[in-house]
Amino acid sequence: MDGRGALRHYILVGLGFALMVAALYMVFIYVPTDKNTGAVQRIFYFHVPLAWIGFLAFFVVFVCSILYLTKRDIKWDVIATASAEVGVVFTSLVLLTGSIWAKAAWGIWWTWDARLTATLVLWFTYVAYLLVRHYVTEDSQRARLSAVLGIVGFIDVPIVALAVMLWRTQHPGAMIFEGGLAPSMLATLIVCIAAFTVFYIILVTQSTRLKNMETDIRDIKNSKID
Amino acid sequence: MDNLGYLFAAYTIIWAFVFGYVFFLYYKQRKLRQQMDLLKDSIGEQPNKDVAKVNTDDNAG
Amino acid sequence: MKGSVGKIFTIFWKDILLEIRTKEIITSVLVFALLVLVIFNFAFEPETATMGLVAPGILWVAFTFAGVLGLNRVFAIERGNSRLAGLLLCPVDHMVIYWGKLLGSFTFMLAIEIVVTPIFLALLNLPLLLPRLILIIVLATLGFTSVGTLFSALAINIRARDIMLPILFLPIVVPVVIAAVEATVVVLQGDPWGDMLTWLQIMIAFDIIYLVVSTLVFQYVVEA
Repeated sequence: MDGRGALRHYILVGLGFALMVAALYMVFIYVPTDKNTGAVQRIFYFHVPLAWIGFLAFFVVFVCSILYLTKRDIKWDVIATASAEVGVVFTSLVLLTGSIWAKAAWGIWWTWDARLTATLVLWFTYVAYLLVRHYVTEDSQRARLSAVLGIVGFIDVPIVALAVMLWRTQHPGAMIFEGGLAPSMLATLIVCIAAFTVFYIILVTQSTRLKNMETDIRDIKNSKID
Repeated sequence: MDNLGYLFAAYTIIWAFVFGYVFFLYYKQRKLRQQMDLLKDSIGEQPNKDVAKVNTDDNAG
Repeated sequence: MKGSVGKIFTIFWKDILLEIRTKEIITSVLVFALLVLVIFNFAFEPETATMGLVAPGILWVAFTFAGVLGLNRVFAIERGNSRLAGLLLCPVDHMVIYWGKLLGSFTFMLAIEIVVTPIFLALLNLPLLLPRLILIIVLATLGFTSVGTLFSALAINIRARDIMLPILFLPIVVPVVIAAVEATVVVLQGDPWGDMLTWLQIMIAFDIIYLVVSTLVFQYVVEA
């Protein structure tokens, strides 16, 4: 890492850390307990940002996939993988925390609620994406095939959301949120989203850096063998 | 008061995953460092030129 | 444009001839689909009351899994003797190859469904010919094969392709499965057209979107 990159990295980490501390303070001390659902509602402040940033991560995969296929620069492929990885980690957390919340709020671990189902489908799609990357060894082929998947998979998102939503309105189920949020709750949510956005950027840049390093080392080894 | 166990479980899982992923990245970085050092030793302290060179031919394909 | 249609048909006809001679896809997949129907009859008590509720699901599970199995073969038959390379060397646009292959897999799947559906309806003591069900089957099959043909071409390039095709294919076709099942429920219960309109629209939207997108990205999948 060069000097400026390092500086930027430290600023980002500092900012992320400060935001995360602020987020934790607001979630557990500042914001009042929800009257209807009780303390467990505090899951919401991390659950929702994780879901949004997870979705953003897959959108980044989509954009980078298009950029790779048009520009053929391997750097877009590397960013796409890094983003997909973080997206899968975050979406896994969304599903797990969502499940815990469902158990606490409705007494069931899982319900085929529209959002839960759509998130689950999304999770499967990007796990498949990462698996394909694992199964293709040649670099440019892997980049090409996974870029196609990154595009095809993301386009499915609105259709899945629509289908699942209509499917569930046929069998009315519990909705996650009715009515607005109190200002203090909204403020907490915004800080949490900011914290997770910065955290996402840090994870993706670090992961990208590592992947580049990996490629470099492998190439050096290969060039030595030749 | 109510359901604190669930709240605790949710945040424990979140941090476990996050630290797990960060640790995974850290572990990978350490392994790469070791390989890099090994390569540097075998090449004989002229690694920078090679790194710069291979970086450019990535997009062949 | 006119030339393209002819070329698409040539590729399609090549696959049909190959299938007539080898009988590699249709027979085996057909038997598999029938087996799925039978196995599900053991999984659920074959009483009329419960069967009526789960029947549409059984039909579409059978078609989905049979579809995956069939789609696995669509490009796999081109693997030996560099046949795929030969196909790609043809002086045609890659889109033409996609549409030729799509037409082939669509026909194979439809052929299987033409046999399985009446048997399924007979098992349920329903009329053997339901025009609305045919419409649903055509729309859903087009959706399955539009993505499936693309993924079939993608999967031949990767290790563990037999397991990777379903892993890639199934999450993507979730909207089609939901829409097909819900529309089939409407048909089997004899509810009016209006009730299934939304589901038909979802399938039509899926078909159009994936036909366009697959046509556009297919060239990147088969690129040497």
